[in-house]
Amino acid sequence: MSLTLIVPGNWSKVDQLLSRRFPRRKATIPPASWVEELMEKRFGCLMICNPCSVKYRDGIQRWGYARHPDMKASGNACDFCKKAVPIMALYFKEEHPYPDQQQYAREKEKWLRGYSAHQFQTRRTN
Amino acid sequence: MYPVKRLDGSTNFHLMDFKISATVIQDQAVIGSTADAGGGHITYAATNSRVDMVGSVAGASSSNPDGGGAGTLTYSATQGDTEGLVRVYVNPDAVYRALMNGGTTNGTALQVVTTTGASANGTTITATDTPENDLDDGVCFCLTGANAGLSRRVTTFTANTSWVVTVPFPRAIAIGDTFLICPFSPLVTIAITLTSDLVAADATVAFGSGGTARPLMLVWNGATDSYVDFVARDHVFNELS
Repeated sequence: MSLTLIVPGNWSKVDQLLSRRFPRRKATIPPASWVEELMEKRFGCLMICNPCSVKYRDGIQRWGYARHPDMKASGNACDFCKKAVPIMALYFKEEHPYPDQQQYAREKEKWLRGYSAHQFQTRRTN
Repeated sequence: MYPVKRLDGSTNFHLMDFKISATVIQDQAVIGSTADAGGGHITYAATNSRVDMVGSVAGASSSNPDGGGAGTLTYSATQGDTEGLVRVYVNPDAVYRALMNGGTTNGTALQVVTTTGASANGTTITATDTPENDLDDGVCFCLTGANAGLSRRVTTFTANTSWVVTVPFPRAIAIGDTFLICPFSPLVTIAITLTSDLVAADATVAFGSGGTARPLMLVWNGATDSYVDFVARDHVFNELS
């Protein structure tokens, strides 16, 4: 079964005005880039639905956002996919700075002697 | 200050993005803007007033096209500047947790009161270095001594002399025991004064002074990490006045 996309052929004035008022993500910007840019700007508190938290887990970890174990958002839309979800987890920007290479090296020395450093570099260092 | 739960015990919050009428910072208490004032919908509260409180700032809105970011969220009425949009917890029954401070500046440790007199029946805390303001009806917490870890409601307070509790501490109070004291009593206090950055609570003011709030619980740990949990008495969606 093939997927059929139904795109409206005629856009009313209202549709055109709304599309200008609420511009969508540009086709030249992939969803992941947009999400990464969002996290890079340090919003402090992001509401991320479960599918997106899995899809963008790598970026969430790299930018130092952490899921709060208790606090949830109810009745809001996901910041990434913009879909309304009944209950979502809140992700907060961690207060400590990202570990630098020196800290990674120390950690490696302390706990992971003999392992490869790249295996544990999960966060951006710049 | 930040929400820890709601009055029904749940931790599901409703967050909304609002236009700001003034520059705010994360975790700051915000109130609804009044008519004919400011260019947005919320503004910062005052240390001694939280009429029409909305909640506390969680961060910048992700709908903000040019970002903004946690920390200081700037308000600007200049064409071309980014519109200030912030994300706020809006539940009227949210229980907010604020750090208790020993002054108007956030991060100031609570004053540790050392007793200069003994009390065999465990009701009188004699000390010459108590806080200055009237903390009658507040709560004291024994930091060190035979009653360490226990708290009692204060029923009589005389600054720089002593205070008395009606329900005695179970063991005698000895010279040199240390106590913390605050003007907040769960369910009794009707007002809380915030620190100058509107993020934490000032525990040195007199009992009942400040903006409308009703404490629910006190979390005693030490001079630098004790908290008061409270509910907004005058919320923008549940107005007192």
